Amino acid sequence: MSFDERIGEIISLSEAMRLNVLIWGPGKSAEEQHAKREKIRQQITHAFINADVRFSEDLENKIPGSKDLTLPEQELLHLAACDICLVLDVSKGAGEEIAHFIGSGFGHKLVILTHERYKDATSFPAALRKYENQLFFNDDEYEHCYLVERILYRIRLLAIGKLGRLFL
Amino acid sequence: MPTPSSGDSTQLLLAWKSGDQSALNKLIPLVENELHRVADSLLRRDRPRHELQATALVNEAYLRLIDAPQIEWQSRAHFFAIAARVMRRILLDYTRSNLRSKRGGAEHILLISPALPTEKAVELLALDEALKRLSKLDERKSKVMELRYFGGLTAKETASVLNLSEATVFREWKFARAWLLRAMEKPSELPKEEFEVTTVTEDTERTLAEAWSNRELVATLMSENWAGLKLLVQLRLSPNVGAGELTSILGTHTSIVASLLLKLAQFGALEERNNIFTLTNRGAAMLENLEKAIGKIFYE
Repeated sequence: MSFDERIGEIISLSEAMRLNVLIWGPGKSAEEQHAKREKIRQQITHAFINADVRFSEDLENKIPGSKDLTLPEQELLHLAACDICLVLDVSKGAGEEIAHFIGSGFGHKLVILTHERYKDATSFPAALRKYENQLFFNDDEYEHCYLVERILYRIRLLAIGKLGRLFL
Repeated sequence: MPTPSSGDSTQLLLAWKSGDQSALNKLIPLVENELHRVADSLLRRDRPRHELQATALVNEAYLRLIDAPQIEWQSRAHFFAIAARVMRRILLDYTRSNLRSKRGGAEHILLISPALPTEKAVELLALDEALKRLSKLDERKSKVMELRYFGGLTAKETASVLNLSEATVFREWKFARAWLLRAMEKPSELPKEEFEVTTVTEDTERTLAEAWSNRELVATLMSENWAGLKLLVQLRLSPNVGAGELTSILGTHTSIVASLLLKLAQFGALEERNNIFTLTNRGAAMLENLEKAIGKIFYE
Protein backbone atom coordinates (compact mmCIF):
# COMPACT_ATOMS: atom_id res chain seq x y z
CA MET A 1 0.00 0.00 0.00
CA SER A 2 1.42 3.36 -1.02
CA PHE A 3 1.75 6.47 1.07
CA ASP A 4 -1.06 8.08 -0.90
CA GLU A 5 -3.35 5.16 -0.14
CA ARG A 6 -2.62 5.61 3.54
CA ILE A 7 -3.52 9.30 3.20
CA GLY A 8 -6.74 8.16 1.53
CA GLU A 9 -7.51 6.04 4.59
CA ILE A 10 -6.90 8.96 6.92
CA ILE A 11 -9.31 11.06 4.88
CA SER A 12 -11.95 8.31 4.88
CA LEU A 13 -11.63 7.79 8.63
CA SER A 14 -11.91 11.53 9.26
CA GLU A 15 -15.07 11.66 7.15
CA ALA A 16 -16.58 8.80 9.13
CA MET A 17 -15.63 10.24 12.52
CA ARG A 18 -18.36 10.80 15.09
CA LEU A 19 -18.52 14.56 15.54
CA ASN A 20 -20.95 16.73 17.45
CA VAL A 21 -21.50 19.92 15.52
CA LEU A 22 -23.64 22.75 16.79
CA ILE A 23 -24.97 25.55 14.60
CA TRP A 24 -26.16 28.72 16.26
CA GLY A 25 -27.85 31.44 14.29
CA PRO A 26 -31.14 33.02 13.23
CA GLY A 27 -34.35 31.10 13.82
CA LYS A 28 -37.14 30.30 11.39
CA SER A 29 -38.46 33.87 11.44
CA ALA A 30 -35.38 34.92 9.46
CA GLU A 31 -36.19 32.69 6.51
CA GLU A 32 -33.14 33.27 4.33
CA GLN A 33 -30.57 32.92 7.10
CA HIS A 34 -32.36 29.92 8.53
CA ALA A 35 -32.25 28.31 5.10
CA LYS A 36 -28.51 28.96 5.04
CA ARG A 37 -28.16 27.19 8.38
CA GLU A 38 -30.10 24.25 6.96
CA LYS A 39 -27.84 24.19 3.92
CA ILE A 40 -24.74 24.21 6.11
CA ARG A 41 -26.20 21.35 8.16
CA GLN A 42 -26.95 19.32 5.00
CA GLN A 43 -23.48 19.86 3.57
CA ILE A 44 -21.76 18.86 6.80
CA THR A 45 -23.88 15.73 7.12
CA HIS A 46 -23.13 14.93 3.50
CA ALA A 47 -19.36 15.31 3.94
CA PHE A 48 -19.09 13.79 7.44
CA ILE A 49 -21.48 10.88 7.47
CA ASN A 50 -21.45 10.30 11.22
CA ALA A 51 -21.60 13.93 12.25
CA ASP A 52 -24.48 14.80 14.55
CA VAL A 53 -25.32 18.33 13.47
CA ARG A 54 -27.77 20.22 15.68
CA PHE A 55 -29.29 23.65 15.86
CA SER A 56 -29.42 25.12 19.36
CA GLU A 57 -33.23 25.20 19.24
CA ASP A 58 -33.32 21.44 18.51
CA LEU A 59 -31.72 20.89 21.90
CA GLU A 60 -33.71 23.41 23.95
CA ASN A 61 -35.15 21.66 27.04
CA LYS A 62 -34.12 18.27 25.60
CA ILE A 63 -31.40 17.48 28.13
CA PRO A 64 -32.91 15.87 31.27
CA GLY A 65 -33.20 18.46 34.02
CA SER A 66 -32.39 21.32 31.68
CA LYS A 67 -35.85 22.88 32.05
CA ASP A 68 -34.63 24.37 35.33
CA LEU A 69 -31.76 26.07 33.54
CA THR A 70 -31.81 29.45 31.85
CA LEU A 71 -31.25 29.60 28.10
CA PRO A 72 -27.60 30.71 28.44
CA GLU A 73 -26.97 27.89 30.92
CA GLN A 74 -28.46 25.38 28.49
CA GLU A 75 -26.38 26.82 25.67
CA LEU A 76 -23.26 26.47 27.77
CA LEU A 77 -24.09 22.77 28.28
CA HIS A 78 -24.51 22.32 24.55
CA LEU A 79 -21.20 24.05 23.91
CA ALA A 80 -19.44 21.84 26.44
CA ALA A 81 -20.80 18.72 24.73
CA CYS A 82 -20.00 19.62 21.12
CA ASP A 83 -16.77 19.36 19.16
CA ILE A 84 -17.31 22.56 17.23
CA CYS A 85 -19.93 25.30 17.35
CA LEU A 86 -20.57 27.34 14.23
CA VAL A 87 -22.21 30.69 14.85
CA LEU A 88 -23.87 32.40 11.92
CA ASP A 89 -23.51 36.01 13.00
CA VAL A 90 -25.45 37.73 10.23
CA SER A 91 -26.87 40.81 11.89
CA LYS A 92 -25.34 43.55 13.94
CA GLY A 93 -25.25 42.48 17.54
CA ALA A 94 -26.63 39.03 16.80
CA GLY A 95 -23.55 37.39 18.16
CA GLU A 96 -23.03 39.67 21.11
CA GLU A 97 -24.89 37.37 23.44
CA ILE A 98 -22.39 34.61 22.83
CA ALA A 99 -19.41 36.79 23.69
CA HIS A 100 -19.71 35.67 27.29
CA PHE A 101 -19.06 32.04 26.27
CA ILE A 102 -15.56 32.91 25.18
CA GLY A 103 -14.27 32.80 28.73
CA SER A 104 -16.23 29.66 29.59
CA GLY A 105 -13.36 27.27 28.89
CA PHE A 106 -15.03 26.21 25.64
CA GLY A 107 -14.45 29.39 23.66
CA HIS A 108 -11.97 27.58 21.40
CA LYS A 109 -14.88 25.51 20.02
CA LEU A 110 -16.61 28.58 18.62
CA VAL A 111 -16.28 29.50 14.98
CA ILE A 112 -18.11 32.77 14.49
CA LEU A 113 -19.01 33.52 10.91
CA THR A 114 -19.47 37.24 10.52
CA HIS A 115 -20.27 39.30 7.46
CA GLU A 116 -17.33 41.47 6.52
CA ARG A 117 -19.49 44.59 6.85
CA TYR A 118 -19.20 44.09 10.63
CA LYS A 119 -15.43 43.81 10.55
CA ASP A 120 -15.09 47.02 12.56
CA ALA A 121 -17.58 46.00 15.24
CA THR A 122 -16.14 45.29 18.64
CA SER A 123 -18.69 42.72 19.81
CA PHE A 124 -16.03 40.10 20.31
CA PRO A 125 -12.59 40.21 21.91
CA ALA A 126 -9.72 40.64 19.44
CA ALA A 127 -8.29 37.28 20.55
CA LEU A 128 -11.08 35.55 18.61
CA ARG A 129 -9.81 37.03 15.36
CA LYS A 130 -6.19 36.53 16.27
CA TYR A 131 -6.71 32.79 16.72
CA GLU A 132 -9.15 32.53 13.81
CA ASN A 133 -12.25 31.77 15.82
CA GLN A 134 -14.01 34.57 13.98
CA LEU A 135 -14.07 34.32 10.21
CA PHE A 136 -15.39 36.97 7.86
CA PHE A 137 -17.26 36.36 4.65
CA ASN A 138 -18.51 38.56 1.85
CA ASP A 139 -21.81 38.48 -0.05
CA ASP A 140 -20.39 36.32 -2.80
CA GLU A 141 -19.09 33.72 -0.36
CA TYR A 142 -22.43 33.74 1.42
CA GLU A 143 -24.48 33.39 -1.77
CA HIS A 144 -22.36 30.63 -3.25
CA CYS A 145 -20.87 27.60 -1.58
CA TYR A 146 -17.47 29.09 -0.64
CA LEU A 147 -18.55 29.74 2.91
CA VAL A 148 -19.70 26.14 3.32
CA GLU A 149 -16.39 24.96 1.84
CA ARG A 150 -14.49 26.96 4.44
CA ILE A 151 -16.64 25.43 7.15
CA LEU A 152 -16.05 21.91 5.82
CA TYR A 153 -12.30 22.54 5.70
CA ARG A 154 -12.42 23.69 9.31
CA ILE A 155 -14.26 20.53 10.35
CA ARG A 156 -11.78 18.40 8.38
CA LEU A 157 -8.90 19.96 10.35
CA LEU A 158 -10.72 19.09 13.54
CA ALA A 159 -11.45 15.50 12.48
CA ILE A 160 -7.87 14.78 11.37
CA GLY A 161 -6.56 16.47 14.51
CA LYS A 162 -8.76 14.14 16.54
CA LEU A 163 -7.37 11.12 14.68
CA GLY A 164 -3.87 12.30 15.59
CA ARG A 165 -5.18 12.89 19.13
CA LEU A 166 -4.31 16.56 18.99
CA PHE A 167 -7.85 17.48 20.04
CA LEU A 168 -8.90 15.30 22.92
CA MET B 1 -53.32 26.82 49.70
CA PRO B 2 -52.82 25.69 46.13
CA THR B 3 -50.81 28.03 43.95
CA PRO B 4 -52.99 29.56 41.24
CA SER B 5 -51.99 28.44 37.78
CA SER B 6 -51.34 30.87 34.96
CA GLY B 7 -54.34 29.24 33.26
CA ASP B 8 -56.68 30.37 36.10
CA SER B 9 -55.64 33.99 35.85
CA THR B 10 -55.75 33.96 32.05
CA GLN B 11 -59.34 32.62 32.15
CA LEU B 12 -60.32 35.29 34.68
CA LEU B 13 -58.69 37.98 32.54
CA LEU B 14 -60.67 36.84 29.53
CA ALA B 15 -63.88 36.74 31.60
CA TRP B 16 -63.21 40.24 32.90
CA LYS B 17 -62.59 41.44 29.35
CA SER B 18 -65.98 39.97 28.38
CA GLY B 19 -67.64 42.15 31.00
CA ASP B 20 -67.74 39.83 34.02
CA GLN B 21 -66.86 42.25 36.84
CA SER B 22 -66.87 39.45 39.44
CA ALA B 23 -63.90 37.93 37.56
CA LEU B 24 -61.82 40.94 38.58
CA ASN B 25 -62.56 40.32 42.27
CA LYS B 26 -61.35 36.72 41.88
CA LEU B 27 -58.37 37.78 39.82
CA ILE B 28 -56.93 40.33 42.24
CA PRO B 29 -55.93 37.88 45.01
CA LEU B 30 -54.30 35.65 42.39
CA VAL B 31 -52.12 38.39 40.97
CA GLU B 32 -51.56 40.56 44.02
CA ASN B 33 -48.22 39.07 45.08
CA GLU B 34 -46.88 39.29 41.58
CA LEU B 35 -48.00 42.89 41.20
CA HIS B 36 -46.30 43.75 44.49
CA ARG B 37 -43.13 42.17 43.16
CA VAL B 38 -43.31 44.35 40.04
CA ALA B 39 -44.05 47.44 42.15
CA ASP B 40 -41.16 46.66 44.51
CA SER B 41 -38.89 46.17 41.57
CA LEU B 42 -39.86 49.52 40.05
CA LEU B 43 -39.61 51.38 43.33
CA ARG B 44 -36.25 49.86 44.29
CA ARG B 45 -34.78 51.47 41.22
CA ASP B 46 -35.90 54.88 42.40
CA ARG B 47 -35.69 54.89 46.15
CA PRO B 48 -35.24 52.60 49.15
CA ARG B 49 -37.90 49.93 49.43
CA HIS B 50 -41.00 50.87 51.41
CA GLU B 51 -43.97 48.50 51.75
CA LEU B 52 -46.59 51.24 51.95
CA GLN B 53 -45.36 52.86 48.77
CA ALA B 54 -45.49 49.56 46.86
CA THR B 55 -49.03 48.95 48.11
CA ALA B 56 -50.06 52.46 47.11
CA LEU B 57 -48.55 51.96 43.69
CA VAL B 58 -50.38 48.66 43.22
CA ASN B 59 -53.66 50.25 44.33
CA GLU B 60 -53.25 53.15 41.94
CA ALA B 61 -52.46 50.67 39.15
CA TYR B 62 -55.67 48.71 39.95
CA LEU B 63 -57.72 51.88 39.59
CA ARG B 64 -56.24 52.64 36.21
CA LEU B 65 -56.50 49.03 34.97
CA ILE B 66 -60.18 48.84 35.92
CA ASP B 67 -60.74 51.95 33.85
CA ALA B 68 -59.09 50.35 30.84
CA PRO B 69 -61.50 47.65 29.68
CA GLN B 70 -60.48 48.19 26.07
CA ILE B 71 -57.21 46.30 26.61
CA GLU B 72 -57.13 42.99 24.73
CA TRP B 73 -55.71 40.67 27.40
CA GLN B 74 -53.73 37.84 25.84
CA SER B 75 -52.33 36.02 28.83
CA ARG B 76 -51.22 36.32 32.43
CA ALA B 77 -47.78 37.51 31.30
CA HIS B 78 -49.41 40.15 29.14
CA PHE B 79 -51.44 41.36 32.12
CA PHE B 80 -48.28 41.84 34.20
CA ALA B 81 -46.58 43.56 31.31
CA ILE B 82 -49.44 46.05 31.04
CA ALA B 83 -49.60 46.43 34.82
CA ALA B 84 -45.88 47.21 34.91
CA ARG B 85 -46.34 49.77 32.17
CA VAL B 86 -49.20 51.38 34.07
CA MET B 87 -47.13 51.52 37.25
CA ARG B 88 -44.25 53.09 35.40
CA ARG B 89 -46.59 55.72 33.98
CA ILE B 90 -47.84 56.44 37.49
CA LEU B 91 -44.29 56.93 38.71
CA LEU B 92 -43.47 59.14 35.75
CA ASP B 93 -46.63 61.24 36.23
CA TYR B 94 -45.70 61.63 39.84
CA THR B 95 -42.11 62.55 39.04
CA ARG B 96 -43.19 65.16 36.51
CA SER B 97 -45.73 66.72 38.85
CA ASN B 98 -43.19 66.72 41.64
CA LEU B 99 -40.66 68.52 39.49
CA ARG B 100 -43.30 71.04 38.40
CA SER B 101 -44.18 71.57 42.04
CA LYS B 102 -40.54 72.24 42.94
CA ARG B 103 -40.42 74.79 40.12
CA GLY B 104 -43.51 76.48 41.51
CA GLY B 105 -46.12 74.83 39.26
CA ALA B 106 -49.34 73.24 40.32
CA GLU B 107 -49.01 70.14 42.45
CA HIS B 108 -50.70 66.96 41.27
CA ILE B 109 -51.48 64.73 44.20
CA LEU B 110 -51.08 61.00 43.86
CA LEU B 111 -51.42 58.26 46.40
CA ILE B 112 -47.71 57.82 46.61
CA SER B 113 -45.51 60.03 48.73
CA PRO B 114 -42.49 61.22 49.37
CA ALA B 115 -40.59 62.93 46.62
CA LEU B 116 -37.78 61.52 44.57
CA PRO B 117 -34.52 63.44 44.80
CA THR B 118 -34.52 65.87 41.86
CA GLU B 119 -31.43 64.35 40.25
CA LYS B 120 -32.99 60.87 40.33
CA ALA B 121 -36.27 62.19 38.97
CA VAL B 122 -34.52 63.87 36.05
CA GLU B 123 -32.72 60.61 35.24
CA LEU B 124 -35.99 58.68 35.35
CA LEU B 125 -37.55 61.11 32.90
CA ALA B 126 -34.45 60.96 30.69
CA LEU B 127 -34.76 57.19 30.61
CA ASP B 128 -38.40 57.49 29.60
CA GLU B 129 -37.47 59.92 26.83
CA ALA B 130 -34.69 57.61 25.61
CA LEU B 131 -37.09 54.68 25.59
CA LYS B 132 -39.58 56.70 23.52
CA ARG B 133 -36.82 57.51 21.01
CA LEU B 134 -35.81 53.86 20.85
CA SER B 135 -39.44 52.95 20.28
CA LYS B 136 -39.51 55.18 17.19
CA LEU B 137 -36.32 53.58 15.88
CA ASP B 138 -37.15 50.00 16.77
CA GLU B 139 -40.38 49.28 18.54
CA ARG B 140 -39.58 45.64 19.24
CA LYS B 141 -36.36 46.42 21.09
CA SER B 142 -38.15 49.09 23.09
CA LYS B 143 -40.91 46.64 24.06
CA VAL B 144 -38.40 44.02 25.14
CA MET B 145 -36.65 46.56 27.34
CA GLU B 146 -39.93 47.75 28.81
CA LEU B 147 -41.16 44.28 29.67
CA ARG B 148 -37.86 42.97 30.98
CA TYR B 149 -36.58 46.00 32.83
CA PHE B 150 -39.71 47.80 33.93
CA GLY B 151 -42.08 44.84 33.94
CA GLY B 152 -39.68 42.44 35.59
CA LEU B 153 -40.73 39.70 33.16
CA THR B 154 -38.37 36.81 32.52
CA ALA B 155 -36.97 36.27 29.05
CA LYS B 156 -39.41 33.39 28.59
CA GLU B 157 -42.42 35.51 29.62
CA THR B 158 -41.26 38.37 27.40
CA ALA B 159 -40.86 35.93 24.51
CA SER B 160 -44.39 34.68 25.11
CA VAL B 161 -45.95 38.16 25.26
CA LEU B 162 -44.17 39.38 22.13
CA ASN B 163 -44.39 36.07 20.29
CA LEU B 164 -40.62 35.86 19.84
CA SER B 165 -38.01 33.22 20.56
CA GLU B 166 -36.07 33.51 23.81
CA ALA B 167 -32.85 33.90 21.84
CA THR B 168 -34.32 36.90 20.02
CA VAL B 169 -35.42 38.40 23.33
CA PHE B 170 -31.85 38.09 24.68
CA ARG B 171 -30.46 39.66 21.54
CA GLU B 172 -32.94 42.55 21.47
CA TRP B 173 -32.39 43.09 25.18
CA LYS B 174 -28.63 43.34 24.69
CA PHE B 175 -29.00 45.81 21.86
CA ALA B 176 -31.62 47.95 23.64
CA ARG B 177 -29.46 48.08 26.73
CA ALA B 178 -26.40 49.20 24.76
CA TRP B 179 -28.46 51.79 22.88
CA LEU B 180 -29.97 53.23 26.06
CA LEU B 181 -26.57 53.38 27.72
CA ARG B 182 -25.33 55.52 24.89
CA ALA B 183 -28.50 57.59 24.67
CA MET B 184 -28.55 58.39 28.37
CA GLU B 185 -24.89 58.23 29.26
CA LYS B 186 -26.13 57.10 32.66
CA PRO B 187 -24.95 53.53 33.04
CA SER B 188 -25.94 53.35 36.69
CA GLU B 189 -29.62 53.60 35.75
CA LEU B 190 -29.59 50.57 33.55
CA PRO B 191 -29.93 46.90 34.40
CA LYS B 192 -26.91 44.73 34.91
CA GLU B 193 -25.75 42.62 32.00
CA GLU B 194 -27.44 39.26 31.89
CA PHE B 195 -24.63 38.12 29.71
CA GLU B 196 -21.37 39.29 31.16
CA VAL B 197 -19.08 39.88 28.21
CA THR B 198 -15.94 38.29 29.48
CA THR B 199 -12.56 39.79 29.02
CA VAL B 200 -10.10 37.28 27.68
CA THR B 201 -8.04 35.99 30.58
CA GLU B 202 -4.58 34.45 30.19
CA ASP B 203 -6.13 30.98 30.55
CA THR B 204 -8.68 31.66 27.82
CA GLU B 205 -6.01 33.11 25.54
CA ARG B 206 -3.83 30.04 26.16
CA THR B 207 -6.69 27.67 25.27
CA LEU B 208 -7.48 29.63 22.10
CA ALA B 209 -3.80 29.67 21.13
CA GLU B 210 -3.42 25.94 21.75
CA ALA B 211 -6.44 25.06 19.62
CA TRP B 212 -5.21 27.39 16.86
CA SER B 213 -1.74 25.80 16.95
CA ASN B 214 -3.26 22.30 16.68
CA ARG B 215 -5.39 23.34 13.71
CA GLU B 216 -2.43 24.98 12.00
CA LEU B 217 -0.35 21.86 12.52
CA VAL B 218 -2.99 19.72 10.80
CA ALA B 219 -3.30 22.33 8.02
CA THR B 220 0.48 22.19 7.53
CA LEU B 221 0.43 18.37 7.33
CA MET B 222 -2.30 18.57 4.68
CA SER B 223 -0.77 21.42 2.70
CA GLU B 224 0.91 20.90 -0.68
CA ASN B 225 -0.98 17.65 -1.16
CA TRP B 226 0.08 16.25 2.20
CA ALA B 227 3.74 17.15 1.72
CA GLY B 228 3.85 18.27 5.36
CA LEU B 229 2.99 14.79 6.58
CA LYS B 230 5.40 13.17 4.10
CA LEU B 231 8.15 15.45 5.34
CA LEU B 232 7.48 14.52 8.95
CA VAL B 233 7.50 10.80 8.13
CA GLN B 234 10.73 11.23 6.17
CA LEU B 235 12.42 12.96 9.09
CA ARG B 236 11.43 10.07 11.33
CA LEU B 237 12.99 7.62 8.86
CA SER B 238 16.18 9.64 8.27
CA PRO B 239 16.71 12.16 11.08
CA ASN B 240 19.82 13.77 9.60
CA VAL B 241 18.61 14.22 6.06
CA GLY B 242 19.35 17.64 4.55
CA ALA B 243 16.95 20.10 2.95
CA GLY B 244 18.25 19.35 -0.54
CA GLU B 245 17.56 15.65 -0.17
CA LEU B 246 14.13 16.34 1.31
CA THR B 247 13.32 18.51 -1.69
CA SER B 248 14.30 15.69 -3.97
CA ILE B 249 12.36 13.03 -1.99
CA LEU B 250 9.21 15.15 -1.86
CA GLY B 251 9.60 16.21 -5.49
CA THR B 252 8.89 19.83 -4.71
CA HIS B 253 10.64 23.21 -4.49
CA THR B 254 13.20 24.06 -1.83
CA SER B 255 11.16 27.10 -0.81
CA ILE B 256 8.14 24.88 -0.09
CA VAL B 257 10.23 22.48 1.98
CA ALA B 258 11.75 25.40 3.90
CA SER B 259 8.31 26.84 4.57
CA LEU B 260 6.93 23.47 5.74
CA LEU B 261 9.92 22.87 8.03
CA LEU B 262 9.48 26.27 9.66
CA LYS B 263 5.73 25.79 10.14
CA LEU B 264 6.11 22.28 11.56
CA ALA B 265 8.66 23.69 13.99
CA GLN B 266 6.40 26.65 14.85
CA PHE B 267 3.48 24.34 15.64
CA GLY B 268 5.55 21.97 17.75
CA ALA B 269 6.04 18.87 15.58
CA LEU B 270 9.73 19.59 14.89
CA GLU B 271 12.57 21.30 16.68
CA GLU B 272 15.48 23.01 15.03
CA ARG B 273 19.07 23.11 16.27
CA ASN B 274 21.94 24.37 14.10
CA ASN B 275 19.76 24.10 11.00
CA ILE B 276 18.97 20.45 11.76
CA PHE B 277 15.26 19.63 12.18
CA THR B 278 14.24 16.68 14.34
CA LEU B 279 10.91 15.28 15.43
CA THR B 280 9.60 16.41 18.81
CA ASN B 281 7.75 14.04 21.15
CA ARG B 282 4.54 15.78 20.08
CA GLY B 283 5.30 15.22 16.39
CA ALA B 284 6.25 11.58 16.97
CA ALA B 285 3.14 10.90 19.10
CA MET B 286 0.89 12.42 16.48
CA LEU B 287 2.36 10.25 13.72
CA GLU B 288 1.94 7.16 15.88
CA ASN B 289 -1.66 8.06 16.63
CA LEU B 290 -2.45 8.48 12.94
CA GLU B 291 -0.82 5.11 12.24
CA LYS B 292 -2.84 3.50 15.04
CA ALA B 293 -6.00 4.96 13.51
CA ILE B 294 -5.32 3.37 10.09
CA GLY B 295 -3.69 0.27 11.60
CA LYS B 296 -0.52 0.59 9.50
CA ILE B 297 2.75 2.48 9.63
CA PHE B 298 3.40 5.02 6.89
CA TYR B 299 6.41 3.27 5.33
CA GLU B 300 6.90 -0.48 5.65
